[in-house]
Amino acid sequence: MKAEFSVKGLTAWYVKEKPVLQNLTFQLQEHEAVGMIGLNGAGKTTLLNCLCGLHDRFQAEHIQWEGEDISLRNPAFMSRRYAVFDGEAPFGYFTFREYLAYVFGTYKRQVPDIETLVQGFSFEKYEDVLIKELSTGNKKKVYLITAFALRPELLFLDEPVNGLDFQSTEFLYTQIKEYKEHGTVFFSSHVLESVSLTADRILLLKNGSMEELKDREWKENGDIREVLRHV
Amino acid sequence: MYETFAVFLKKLLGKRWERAGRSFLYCGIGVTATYAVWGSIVIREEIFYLILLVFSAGVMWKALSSEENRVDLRGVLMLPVPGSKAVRAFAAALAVYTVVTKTAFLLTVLLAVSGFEPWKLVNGLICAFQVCFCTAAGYWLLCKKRFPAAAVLAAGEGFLVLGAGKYSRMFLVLASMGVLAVLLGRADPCLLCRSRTGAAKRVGSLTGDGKKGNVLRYLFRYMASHGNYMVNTLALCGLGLMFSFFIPKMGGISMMPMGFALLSLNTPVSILLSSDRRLCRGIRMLPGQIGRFAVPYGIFIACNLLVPESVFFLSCAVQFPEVGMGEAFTALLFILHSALLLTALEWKFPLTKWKIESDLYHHPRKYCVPVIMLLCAVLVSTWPVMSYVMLGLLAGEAGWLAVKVRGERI
Repeated sequence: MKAEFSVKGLTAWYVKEKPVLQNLTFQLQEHEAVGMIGLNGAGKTTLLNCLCGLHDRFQAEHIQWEGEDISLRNPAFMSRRYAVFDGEAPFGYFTFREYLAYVFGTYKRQVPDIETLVQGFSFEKYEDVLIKELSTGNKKKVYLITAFALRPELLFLDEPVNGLDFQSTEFLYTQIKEYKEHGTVFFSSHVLESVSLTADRILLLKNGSMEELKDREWKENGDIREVLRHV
Repeated sequence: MYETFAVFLKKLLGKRWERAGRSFLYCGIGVTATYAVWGSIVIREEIFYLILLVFSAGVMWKALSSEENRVDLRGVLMLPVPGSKAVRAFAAALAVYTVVTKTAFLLTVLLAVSGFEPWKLVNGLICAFQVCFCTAAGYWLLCKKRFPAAAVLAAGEGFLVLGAGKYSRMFLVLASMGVLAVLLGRADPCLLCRSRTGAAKRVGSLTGDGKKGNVLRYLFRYMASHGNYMVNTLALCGLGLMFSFFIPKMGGISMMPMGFALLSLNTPVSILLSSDRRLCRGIRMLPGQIGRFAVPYGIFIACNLLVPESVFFLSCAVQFPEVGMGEAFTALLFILHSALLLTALEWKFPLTKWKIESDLYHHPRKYCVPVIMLLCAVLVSTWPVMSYVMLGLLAGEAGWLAVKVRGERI
């Protein structure tokens, strides 16, 4: 199925007189990895909250999924997307395995073999520990492993690199690059390397709106800093 | 120390201490309403101060054990502020918060009921502050596992507030505040702000045959980790037991529905979602959560209500041989209705704008369902046939819920 997702004219706010996002427009094609960068306070997390139906103070001209207008709280759409937010650890009284089973039961899927993911994120010792008792980085791994095991058509990641050790970070890059076989991943990051090494396209969130970094030089020589200097 | 105190207080009372203003407004409303409705009753001085002591100590204890406040204290300790000053400022700010936003209301209502006397007001306020400092000192002693010292402190406090005479009480309370200030100055601030989570240990994942993740297990595990849930349930059982002895004076077993209604006031259980913002967000992020989470949550609430309601019912059944299946049926109706309403309230209107957990425990929303159930109890007590109307309503609510669950199916 297509994962084409389109947002047009999205404005979001916490106080109506001071919108955080203004007339924001972008598209996500199927089977691509799109990175989003921006300064602190640019609205990256606010955008992801809106897309997941967790922030209701917004309006948009249209939000479409496979060419049809949708509500972001529509169960059919929600069942085809999953999100991992930075600094959050819901369901803290589940262990990782219990949380995984819960999410897969929610999405009505069978839990696959996750050995590779668990080993890749060096999470073997923590599978049966309550999530609330894990360290910050290990908590992040719970939700990342769940996300990559679930393989929804649309995956949102908010600062996925934050809190991860260097080994897990490398594994995360691999997972993001390989994710294109299954669906579309849209992620925000402050770590420019994470975006330049994994993303097909990079969107820059600036002054409440989105622009794509068209200059492909960053793909060829990886020097995204040089490109950003001219933006 | 004043700057540190002001920083803590700003967080608790708001930037312009607006919560203090609101609190005084509520006191005014409470006094007016109490005068209009209640009239005047005699309250023994010991009972008056006991109520203030227990209430203030409870709120202060909750404030001390709040994770948000510990984080604030940790933040201050990272600065070059002497530990003794940080602890005193922390305890003072929490004491002011407790007295101004919580105890003041109770005190004014008690005075309105028992007759206003200026010395009682002043005495009550000073005792409330002193109890808060004593609770802080006791909390620190318990953190250090100095149980005998904590017991002596509690006994001394009990004598001071309850045993002392009218005028000597004021003097002794003021003198003891100096002693408590010295004691708190010696407290190790790291103990007070130590996080509750210990080293991670394996618990064994219990995913079951269906491998769907068990929400009831999650909720009972949550409850087991929070001692206040058990304490609250025990307290409700005690209340149920006590209430059963009042039934003959109130008009016989036809008044039992009032007891069923009152025992639906189970605060910790009914604010479980509001008290865990991360869980709230996690649930909203996932699809199909009315069926996956809300229904088991309702069952969990019903299980929690079942315990005190059963104690009340059994106590009545032992005392009054005429209590039978009809009353059991009514109890079940009240349990199910309460569980459904509490779940719906938490689901649709979670409380999000709270600063510390104590705010949740004292939010007026917690009285909504008990008030509705009390109205139902009045109707059922007056016209027993209303039980069948309640049954019909319950069936309607269950049908509506089934439609909602079906509507969110993938």
